[in-house]
Amino acid sequence: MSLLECRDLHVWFDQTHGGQVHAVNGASFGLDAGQRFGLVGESGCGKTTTILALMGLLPPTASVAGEVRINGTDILCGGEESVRPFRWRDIAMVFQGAMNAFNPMKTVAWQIAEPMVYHGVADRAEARSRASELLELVGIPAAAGKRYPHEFSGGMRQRAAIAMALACEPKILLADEPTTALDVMVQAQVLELLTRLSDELGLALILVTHDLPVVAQTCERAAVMYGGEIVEDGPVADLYHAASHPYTRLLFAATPDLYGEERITTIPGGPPRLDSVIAGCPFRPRCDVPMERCDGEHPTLSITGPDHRAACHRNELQGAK
Amino acid sequence: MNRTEHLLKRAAFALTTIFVAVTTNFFLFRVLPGDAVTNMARVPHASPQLKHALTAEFGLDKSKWEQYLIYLRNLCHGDMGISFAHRQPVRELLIADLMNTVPMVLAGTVAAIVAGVFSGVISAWRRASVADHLSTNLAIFAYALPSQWLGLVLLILFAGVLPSGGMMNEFLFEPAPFWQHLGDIGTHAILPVGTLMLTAYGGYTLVVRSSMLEILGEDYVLTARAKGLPARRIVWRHAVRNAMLPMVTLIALDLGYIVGGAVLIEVLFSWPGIGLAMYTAVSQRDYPMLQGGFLILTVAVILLNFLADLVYARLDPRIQR
Repeated sequence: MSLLECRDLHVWFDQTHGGQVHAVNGASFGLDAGQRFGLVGESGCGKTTTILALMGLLPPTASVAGEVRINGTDILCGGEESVRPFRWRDIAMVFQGAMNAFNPMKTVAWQIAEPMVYHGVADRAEARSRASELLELVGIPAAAGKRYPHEFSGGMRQRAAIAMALACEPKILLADEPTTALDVMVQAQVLELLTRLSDELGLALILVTHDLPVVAQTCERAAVMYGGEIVEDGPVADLYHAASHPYTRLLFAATPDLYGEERITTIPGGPPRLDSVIAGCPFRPRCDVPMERCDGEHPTLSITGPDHRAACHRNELQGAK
Repeated sequence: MNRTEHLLKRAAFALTTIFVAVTTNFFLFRVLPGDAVTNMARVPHASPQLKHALTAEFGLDKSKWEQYLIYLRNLCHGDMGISFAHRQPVRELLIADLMNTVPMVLAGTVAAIVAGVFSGVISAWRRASVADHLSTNLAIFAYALPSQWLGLVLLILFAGVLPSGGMMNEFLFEPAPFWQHLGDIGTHAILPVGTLMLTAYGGYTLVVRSSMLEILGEDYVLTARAKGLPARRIVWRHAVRNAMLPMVTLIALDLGYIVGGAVLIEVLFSWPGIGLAMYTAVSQRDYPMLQGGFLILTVAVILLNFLADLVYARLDPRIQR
């Protein structure tokens, strides 16, 4: 039994003018304590939606199907009331654009202490001293906790957001583009911090990003999402060296490389619209090695190596050979 | 710009505004055709000698500029002149009227704020629900009602059940216990306070609702949900305080305006306040009363705005330092 298990997760969003967008289509993955897992893909492919769904944080216009289990307990089955006790105690999150993750009217330390007091992890005094410890842990002087968020720099706020996420000693930390708005130096510090925390505290980490080098640097395993589906997952080294899905291969090829070619390659076209059912392979229009089968038949994830799956008809072809 | 400098600037601006208002008021009332003497000299057998004597007594035989300078000099000594109609010092008269107006207006406004904040918050939190439609439409309806019309309707509906005019029962003599007097004033206040509340609450509801909707979409509200906090705490501890910021300015403006704007309500319900006093003063061309009344209104608006600035700075930590 994994620490976190996400099975066949689907998310649909109601649209204002009728119809639905199938934003996440059957995502499944598992995570053990201390593991670091990357979720990569272009903008609009369902990464953020997936992890918001894990905590039951999607807006009311979303319908969710599937199971999310923490240590075997299905947390989403009873709606808001059933997830609430798990939030921040078992599964916490560092938000995309954590710049605005703090309430401008409360001090940073107050906001870190708040969930501890609320979940009964600590009383007021303990929570306050623990908030100071957490700030020190992420490299912010404890005294700065008495300040308001607008007095923090971007990097400090991001680190404070991590400190806040650790308040109730969660087992799982979801980090949504935690380094996107930061400069490279601060980005490196934040990634180092996340890696160290997961090593020291046995924290399971899901890192959502479109930045492949960040995943390569931080995570052991990763899943690649395209058009709301996981199209390939496996150890990061395998994805990089022996990608089984053309999208993964092209995605890595599109990453600028210090020693590689001078010209950056791109994948022409854009991600598919998700408001209607896609008959064949969603990547078909942009694929560089399409086959006849790809037009009409939707590929499913199949095993392509140890701990490595991909959803591409070409793999079945090779398997048959 | 430091804090004292800012305060001094605001104070200088306020004083200038008051001076301009005083000057405008002085000349404005004298542009009206006729004066206090024409009104008083309508008694039978009024001789030209009496007219001259009255004109001289009120100082109306001097030039406008002379009158203006005398008025300013007296004002600097805190002397607002003698009422032409009552033959009593304006200051004492107006202070007595103000004592009657302020509790009534304050009760109506506070009730409107409480009702407006509640219905606005519920509207925003249960957006697009039946409760939202109900409270929003009711608010727009109330907002659109002219206060004098609503007052008349209430008067027609409740005349006989509730006292329809005045502030107290003249026949309730002194030996009656204190609480009986208080209850008497309270029942007299129900209709004017109710009218004031009903016409003001709609505007507050709409402002609170839109302000809350904006705040509820902020990242820190999502953070608060992710922390596992219950809805009630998110709304009242995190969202409302932020949403109240634009309300502070609105309330201050309204309070200042309502002291004068209550003219219609005070006339309608014969409430012996400053609005009624000014209404009578206009018909009697009682310049000193009018000047005094308008001065108090001007000072009230400016003072409350100044106060709003201070409160705003206390509420929003981003302004303080």
